[in-house]
This record gives sequence, C-alpha cells and structure tokens, in this order.
Amino acid sequence: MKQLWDYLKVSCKIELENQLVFRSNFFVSILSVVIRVAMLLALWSALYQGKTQVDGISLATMKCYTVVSIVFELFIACNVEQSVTGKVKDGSISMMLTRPASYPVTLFIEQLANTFQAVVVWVIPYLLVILLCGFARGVQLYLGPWFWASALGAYLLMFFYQLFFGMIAFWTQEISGFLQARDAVMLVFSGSMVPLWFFPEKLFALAQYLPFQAMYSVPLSILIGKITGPDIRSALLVQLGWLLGFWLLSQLCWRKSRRRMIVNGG
Amino acid sequence: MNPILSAEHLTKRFTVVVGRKGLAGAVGNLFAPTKREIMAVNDISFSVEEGEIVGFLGPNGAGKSTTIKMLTGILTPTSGSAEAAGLVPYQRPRENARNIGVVFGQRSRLWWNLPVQDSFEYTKALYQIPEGVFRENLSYFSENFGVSEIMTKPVRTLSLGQKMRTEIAMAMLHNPRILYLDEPTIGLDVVGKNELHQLIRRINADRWVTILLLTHDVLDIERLCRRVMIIDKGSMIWHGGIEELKRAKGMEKHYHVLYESPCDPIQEPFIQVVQAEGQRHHYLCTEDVPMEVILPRILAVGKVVDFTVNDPPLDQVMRRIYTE
Repeated sequence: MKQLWDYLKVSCKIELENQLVFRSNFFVSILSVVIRVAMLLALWSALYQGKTQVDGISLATMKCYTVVSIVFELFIACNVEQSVTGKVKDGSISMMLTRPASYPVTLFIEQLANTFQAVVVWVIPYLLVILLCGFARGVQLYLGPWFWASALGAYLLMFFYQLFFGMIAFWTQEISGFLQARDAVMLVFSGSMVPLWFFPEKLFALAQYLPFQAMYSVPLSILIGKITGPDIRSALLVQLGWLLGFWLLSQLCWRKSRRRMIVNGG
Repeated sequence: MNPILSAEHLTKRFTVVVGRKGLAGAVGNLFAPTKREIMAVNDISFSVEEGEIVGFLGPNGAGKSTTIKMLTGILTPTSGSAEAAGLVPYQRPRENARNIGVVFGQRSRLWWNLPVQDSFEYTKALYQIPEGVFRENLSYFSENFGVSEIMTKPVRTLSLGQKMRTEIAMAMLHNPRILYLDEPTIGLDVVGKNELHQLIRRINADRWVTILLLTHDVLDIERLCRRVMIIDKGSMIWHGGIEELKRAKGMEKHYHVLYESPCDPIQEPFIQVVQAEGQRHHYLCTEDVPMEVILPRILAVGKVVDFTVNDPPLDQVMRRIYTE
C-alpha cells in the first residue's frame, strides 16, 4: 500500500510537471477548449431559435449541460487504451512488465495521477469560469451523493473499459480501425455531444443498453436534474453492471494475455 | 557455488500468422489465416555465476530477446525452466523485478521532458528504495560517473552517452543482483563507448552485480566479457571463454617473420605463403596446427630477427560462426 501511495504521489508530481513543460503548448490547449465551448454555445443558441424550451429543456439548462459536459470530459479523460496499444505496438511494453508492480495497478495509478493533473490544470479553472460567467444561473444543479456516486462509477467504468480494450491489444497487436469505429459510436451514444433525451425513441432505448451513456449521460443528467428519484437508482445499477462487466473482462484478458503474449521488436 | 542465473532446456514456441503475398493473400489472411509454429528458442541450457559478465551474442532474430524476456519474467517458456537469483522469473515477475535491473539501449525509462532527478525519484517510489540506500547510490554514481551535474537537466538535453550512463545508474538504484544490458553502446561514439565500458566494469567490480550483456558490438565483448554464449536460430551454438572461442573457431593465424637475410619461404602443405619478398615473410595457417610444429619450420629457413603472431580478430570469428 505504501508503495502505491508513494508511487501515486510521485506520478502526480511528474504528470503535473509534464503538463507545464511547454508554456505555449499549455496556453494553446486552454484556448482550444475555450473555442470549443464558445462554438457549442453558439450552436445551441441557434438551434433553439429564440424558443425558451425544447422538449421541456430550457436553453439555460442546455448551455449549462454543454459546458459541464466538456468539463466532465476533461475529468473522465483516460488514455490507458492508447498507452497500452502504443506500447504493445512498439515493444516498449517489455519495460512495463519488468517493474515490481502489477501492470494494471500501475496503469490505474497513472490514470489517477493523470486525473489529478487534469483537475488542477483544467477542471478547477473551468469550474471557476462557469461560476463567474454565470452558466449555472437559473439552473437547479443537484450536487448530492448520487451525483458523486455516479461520477465515480463513470470514472471507474471508463478505466476498466479502456483497460479491457488495451488488453485485447496483447492478442491482436493492431485494433486501431475497430477502435475508431467504436469511438464514433461512443461519441453519439454517450450523450456528451447531443443529450440523449433529444434522440428518437428507438435510438434512446438502444442507448440505454450501451455502456457509453453510463460514462457521460448518467452523471450529467443526474447533475442537471434530468434523472431524478427512483430513475437514479436504476441508472446507477446499469452503470454498476457495466462496471463489473468490464472489470471482469479486463481481469480475464490480463490473466490470459500474460500467457500468450508476443513482444514486438528486439 | 550456486549459479545466480540458470536455464534448463529452455524452449519457446510461438504460433504466428503467415502473411500471404498480394491483395488476395491479404484478404485471405483476414478470414482464413495460415498459422505456423516457429521455434524462437530451442532447448537452451546455461548457468552464470554471481559477479560474472557474460556476453550474449547472436545475429538478429536468433532468439536472444526471447531468451532475455523469459529470464526477466516477461514471457513464459513453452517448456524447460529458468531461475534468476533463486526465483522462477515468469512465475513471480514482480518479486523478480526487484532482483534485476534492465537497460534497453533502444528504449528509455527516463521521462523525456523532465529533469533526471524526477526519473530517479519515480524509481525510488516504484521500487520502495529506502532513503539511505537511495542517497548512497546517488552519491556513488555522482562521484564516479558525473551524474550529479546532469541531475537538474531535462533528459532531452542530454547527450546519448550521458543518457546511457543515467539509464544504467537508474537501473542500479535498487541494488539489483543481476543487470541485463541490451545493446547499451548502440549509437555511441568511440569516447562514449569507452566511458560506458569503464562504467560497466566499475559497477561489476564495486557492486558485485552479475551482468548479462546482449550486444552486436564485438568491442563490447572483448573489453568486458571473459565468457560468451552465442545462439543462432534458437539454439546455443557456442558457450565458453573467449580465448577458447578464438582457438576453436578462428583457426586463421598470421605469422609475420623478419629474417636477417633474404631466404626461401617454408614449403609445407598446412602453410600458405601470403608474401615472401626478401627478408619479410608473411605466412597464413588456416588449420589447427600447434605452435611447436610451426615454429621449428619458421626457424629452419633462416635466422629470425623479428616475429609476430596475430590471432584472428573476434569479429572475423563471429562472422565465420554466423555464416557456418
């Protein structure tokens, strides 16, 4: 435990430093998020065409959802899958496997460190901007325990989901084509770009069975009060189900892959 | 004494998909891949004593890397077994990792954009190196190998030589008993190579660390190892001392003789006369003929003023072994 705690501390420090090495790069990436927020806000204003409500959602709520979802995306961002597939492809995975810590555990620590960096550098500044610019004005936000539980669930789900696909790379060596297709589906069905409640009924029903909505839509909908009461419990159960599923799958893949792995390169 | 590193009939087979040629073949591969078994490592046995530096050689694709991956616990052998510092590496890879240091010349463990000290601290946390041991090792490497002046420099600004020294220092921070060096001198210039050779010899002597050195560079072997293992196509083709290797495999010996006055060259079936102009004679013997047979013949044809015997250079020996 002490090893993991020390490891987490030093990883957080390194991730943060790494992010701040190149100043111009840092400022440009801040700018890019600002531009994205501004574009999406303009888009929703245009789509509402002066109406105050569409499908029972006010423009103010919609704008709030947009801004919060971008911040949430920064919080939940995970590059475990990319990190593993890249290392398998160029063979540097062998260096990760000669460490005195289990590889999946190492990856989780790295992910925590990454999130620490994201929260300090991105999430906190943006939350301040949201409050200062009044994006949350006139919107009733729910910040109770159910929201935090769903955010934590989404975070863990995202990690094990990516870990699972990363582990598949041990078998297949190359799955980037498949992953691109999957990400396109994810962009639509996670509700991070367009809220799921605007979907046609059948697509909405389909989205409920996919894991993607449990990563973005569930916590965000709870936050802005779109899901309430007993619906929260069932949404969290679905999320928990996916979480356990991907946890099991990733563990299984990891055990198996250690035995049949081929390492690239000399 | 028990060996610190050993392998018994170590074997690794892989199943690979055989790529077929052309578009039709590529499409065919998608649906009905042709599989083939390849024998990457075939029945290798050896042992290494504590404190030795052993060279591990072989042409590209000979199975060196696969062997090392089994010894370091990354891959599980198909059959046979290995033991490193009292552990079976692939059964307990994490415990094994504490006993070994691994340096790959072509891959870095350092954080590219950050000062060297950050990478060291990272290693300290990961390996749970006690503060005292960490400080001691840090001062050892600072004093001996000039690591102190580069501690605050970002890794990307280091020269290749500095980087390799730093990599080795980092791999030694947790006091491993076995150090695996995979092409540590790759890309270094003469000075850099020389410095690295000194460093490796020094840590071997001071720390009593056992070193397995994978390399293509014959100079590394000549400077550092007393014993080599050579594998090709997955099998061990030579295992023993370098001098014995030269004797057994490099039978080409050159004799340069300076006689007091011009004389006729030796006439023997086992000696080739490369040059015999006046007093200077150059003979070549490609068979394993003992010195006591050749020497009298050389002395018989004239009065000798100067005489040198050249052993075959190691790279020539290697070339011969690889092409045999």
